[in-house]
Order: sequence, then C-alpha cells, then structure tokens
Amino acid sequence: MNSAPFKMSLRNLSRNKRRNVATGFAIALGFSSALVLGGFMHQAENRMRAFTIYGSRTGHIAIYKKGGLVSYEGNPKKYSLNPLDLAALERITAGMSQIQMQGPEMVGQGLVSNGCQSTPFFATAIDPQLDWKVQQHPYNLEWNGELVNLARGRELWEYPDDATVMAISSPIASFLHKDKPGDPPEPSAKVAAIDCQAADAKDKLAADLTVQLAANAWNGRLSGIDADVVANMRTSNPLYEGGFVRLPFKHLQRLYETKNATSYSIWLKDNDHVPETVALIEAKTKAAGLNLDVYAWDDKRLSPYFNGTMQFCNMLAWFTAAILASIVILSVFNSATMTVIERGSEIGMMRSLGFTRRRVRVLFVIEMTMIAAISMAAGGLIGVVSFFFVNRAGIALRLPGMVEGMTLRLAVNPQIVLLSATLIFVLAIFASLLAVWAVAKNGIAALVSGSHR
Amino acid sequence: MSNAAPAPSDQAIVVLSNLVKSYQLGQTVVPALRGLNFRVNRGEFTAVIGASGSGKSTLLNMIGCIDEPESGSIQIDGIEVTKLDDNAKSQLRNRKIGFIFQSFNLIPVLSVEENVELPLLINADVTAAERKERVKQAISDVALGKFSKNLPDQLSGGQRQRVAIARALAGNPDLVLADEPTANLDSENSHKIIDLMLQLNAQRHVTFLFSTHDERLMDRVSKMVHIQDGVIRA
Repeated sequence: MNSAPFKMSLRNLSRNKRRNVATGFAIALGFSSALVLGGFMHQAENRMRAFTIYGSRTGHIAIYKKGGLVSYEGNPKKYSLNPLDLAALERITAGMSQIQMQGPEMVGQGLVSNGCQSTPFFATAIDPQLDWKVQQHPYNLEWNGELVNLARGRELWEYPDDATVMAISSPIASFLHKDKPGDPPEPSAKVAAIDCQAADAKDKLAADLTVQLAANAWNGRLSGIDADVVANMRTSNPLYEGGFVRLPFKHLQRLYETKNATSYSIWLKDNDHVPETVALIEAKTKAAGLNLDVYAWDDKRLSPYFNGTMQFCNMLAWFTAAILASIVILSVFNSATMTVIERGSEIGMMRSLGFTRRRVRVLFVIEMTMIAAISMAAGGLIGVVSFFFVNRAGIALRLPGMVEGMTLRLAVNPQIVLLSATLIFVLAIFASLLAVWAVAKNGIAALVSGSHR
Repeated sequence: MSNAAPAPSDQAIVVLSNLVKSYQLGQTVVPALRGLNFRVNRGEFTAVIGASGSGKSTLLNMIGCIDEPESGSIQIDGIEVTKLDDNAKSQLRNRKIGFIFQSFNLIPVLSVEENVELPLLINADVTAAERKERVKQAISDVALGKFSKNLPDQLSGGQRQRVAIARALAGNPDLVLADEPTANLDSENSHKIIDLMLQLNAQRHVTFLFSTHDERLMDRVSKMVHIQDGVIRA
C-alpha cells in the first residue's frame, strides 16, 4: 500500500473535529500529567537517595561486623569493627577504582547536659574532613542542598581535628539553652560556675557553649567528656530530631573509650555500580577471613526509612498512573467506538471493495496514531510549561516522614518521559484497536446497510 | 426462468444452487432465500425485480460475498466461494466484483479520483502507472473528467452514483453488482445511470446484475428475473 492510507487518515482528522480534539485533549492531559508525576517521583527518589547515602552518611555501601546491624546496640564491643577489621577493610578497598571515599562511622547513646539539665542523645560520628567531602558532594548538593545547611553555627570540619566541638539538633539546643552556637573559647578562658536557680541562668547557659556528654564506656565504666556546641542542625528525620548530636569520630571514640567503629561506610563515584561492588567487597572480605556483613545503601534492613518512604510514594504514583491510564483508555475507546460505529457503512464499503479486516483496522490505527502523536506533542509542551511554572512557584514540599520542608522541584527524567510516552501511545492505539476490532467483525452486509449499530 | 438448479456452463459467471438464508428479527426467524437457484451468464445485463423484502438485496449480498448463506452453493467464475476464508473472499471481491450501492458510499474526504482509485490500492498486481491510467479511463467512461479533483460533497446525486460506477469498474471486474442504484435518484438521473450501465455493459462486456423495484426502468433492460418470497419465479 502506498501513502494513500496516511493521506486518508490525515483528512479524516478533519471529520468530527470536536470529538477528535476532545480525544486529543485527554491524551495530551494524560501525557502531561504523567510527565509531571514522573518529574515529582524523579525528584523524590533522588532527594531520598541523596539524603540516605550522603545526608545520613550511610554511604553507598555500609559494612558491619557480622550481625552488627541488629545487635550492635545491645553489645557494641562484640558487634563493632575493631582496628584490625578497619585496617583490613582499608587494604581491601584501597585499589578499587569505583570507590570515591570511605571511612569508619560510630553511633552511640548517652546523656548530654548543660550542667543544669540533662537529656538523652543519639550520636553519629565520622571524620569531619570526610564529612566535608560527603556533604559537599555535587549529587548531595543538587538534591539535598536544602537539608545540609546548619540551622545555626559552623560545620565541624571548619575546626581543627583536635577541637572538642559538636553539633546538636535544634530541639536539644533549645532545651539546653545552647541555641546561640559560636566559636569555642580559648582554652585559657576562665569558666565560671553557673547557679542553675539564678534568674540569669538561661542567659549564662546560652553564653557558655560547653556541654557534658556522659555514657557507659564499652569497658563498663561511666565515661564523660566536654564538648563545645558550635552548631545547631536539622536532621530532617523525626526519628532522631529530638536527641540527635554529631561529633568528630575520634571524639565519640573517646567517650566510649574504644578504638572500634560501628560500621565502615563507602561512597562510590556513581550510583550505578552498587550491587556488583557489594558482591566484590563481600568476596574480598570473605577471602581475607573477615566475618562481616556488607550492605547496599538501599537494603531494606539498612535503610527502612528510604524503602518505606519510597514504597509509599511509589504506591501513590502507580495508583495515580493507573487512574490516568484509565482516563486515557476510556476516553480514546469511547471516542473511537463512536467514530467507528458512525463510519460503519464506510467500513462495509471498503470491505466490499476487497479490504481485509486487518487493512481496515490498520486505517483506523493510523488515524489514532496521528491523533496520539499530535496530542502527545501538545502534552509534552503542557508538561514543559507545567515544569517551568511549578519550579518557579517555589512550592513547599515535605516528603512523608521528613521534619524539614523542601522546595518542590520537578525534574525531567528521560527514562520516565520515554516510558510515559510509550505507555500512553500504546494505550491509545490499543483502545482504538479494541473499538475498531469489534465493529470490523460485523458482517459486511450489516455494515453497509447500517444495521450493525 | 424457473427455480430449477442450473446446469454448469463455461458461460456462467454466477451459479447459485439451493441457497438458503434467513434472518433473526427478535424472536422471529424471517426466511430471506428458500433454496434459491440462479445463474448469470457472462456479459448479461440483468435486473432483479421484486417487492420490498422479497430477497433482492440478500441475493446480491450472497453473490457479492458480503453475506453468508446457511446452506447451498455459490460459484463465482467457477470458484466455490462458500468454502473460501475471509481473506480469500476479500481478494475475490477485489479482483472479480464491483459494487454499486444505493447510497453511493463514497468516502467524503477523498476526491473523485481518489475514491475511484481505492480498490486498486490493495491490488498488488496493478502498478502505480497502470492504476493512474485505469482511474483516468474509468472517470472518463462516466464522463466526470472535469470533476476528478472534486470531493463527493461538491457533486450532485447522479454524479456521485457515476463516481460509484467508475469505482466499481476501475478494477476491471467480471461482474458488477448494483443494489437499487437508482433508488436515491430522480427519474431523469435514474435513466441516465441505467443508460450508462447499459453503455458500459456493451463497451466493456462487463456483466451487470442489479436490483430494482422501479417499474419505469424495467423496459430498459434486456433480461429480468423476478424474485418472490426468496425464490426465483418464472
């Protein structure tokens, strides 16, 4: 067959203009909505990924002592990585080109006090210079930039390695009256005792940056250290927001009087080679006789928050996508059915001239293909305009479970665009084919006479 | 002509034997053809007459392979069409049969020449050059050369039916079936259409079989068969 079917289909678009426009509008809206939904999901996933890998300092890969992820809290000494483990891990990972940075992490609990009041804390600690590299990673700044900023004060990496500085979450800062962080005083500065009952106690507590951290050391003794609050921070995570503190790795080791670490975090150069790197490290650690667990960042056991949030978002997205798909299918099917029934005698005539059912169906599919192509171009344009205005409007967004809000930023993902376009296109063609299929099955005489209606 | 089963003949383009067809109308079964026997020879110009509901259209639909009998035999140019599958019937219609409908059934978005070209587009044996030539000839035969670029909406009823005739002839069919071709035309145009069909029958030696209940046309045809209650009457 030559170009005649295309010519005929193109001209047929001018018939029933209003109906074709309505059908095209449904397809265009379906496509643009899919783009916006895809843009939302793309930014949500990237934000969550950046938050988990960089913001939470988990790394792309986290290595624990065998069973440490679950049992560390109950018996940290047994389930932590000792210096021999850490040295072996450094050796094993040293030559791996896919690794960008790495280092040990420690977490722990205890009490933090201003001398007058105490509250429990949950601490995480990595080397501040490593933390600087992690937090300043371009991927983290792109997607998590709004959350890495401190509420007040300066970052730990801005101070010398031996400085006894720490950052505390805003709620603790408020409770302990340490919400005016600043640079630590000179060691020679005199420290005056504060009368907790005095009227000016709050002001004096606020002027004094020092807090005391107390915890059970891993050797069983009670341990305590002083630290200067140089920053108030936002954790973004409601699980930790109330009692979260961050210290240099060595400082927290000192509190627990240990040389061990809770885990070992590895950040890769990109997000694409995590599973194979996990497998490689697992094999290497096993070969080295190390009794360790190696987790990918998105492992459900390691990152229940990421997985739970994304599962919730994905469920909403698929539900919305299903509604969109239904709207497109029903609109196209409805319109195509009306068109095909109206043109039944035309179909009958073509069949009587020798057109097979398949040829007739192809003619209608070409017609719907043209409507779909034009509509999707329009839908793409609507999507681009929507992206522009939504991103410009600065809409506040708070993902489920997030304490801090972010600015909604729709991001184009070529894969989602391609998938949406393919899906909407296939659905439109399928719906039109379904409509013409049923009518073309009628007897030719019935079609010609119009008795198929 | 009697309702006796026709003997096979090299001259026969259509041979129907014991054709039975009925329609379901709600709870009622309405017999349309009751063991009909019929033969049309090559080059004949035959009118099928009969009252409304007598089975004229059903008979033409069966011969045109656009409806299926419950039983009986249909031979078109020696081919038993009741045994053909749908695609084979489509090809047979395309190569051997031309249709002219009461309501013209032209595609409104196609010009006269594009409408006439339609059946040739799916005939792989016809080259593009031959197709152009045949379309030109068919349009010329029905004296619509001046209107070849016009859309059907820009033509009168008589002109539209001439386009339908040109379309039916473009494929060089052995048989042209016309179901009440003059029913939607006034008296003058009806005569013109019959004259045109007669002229094409004479010039091209194409077999014409058409149904009508217009008595004014009956004296214009050389052969008439009368159908009543689904059988051919003498």
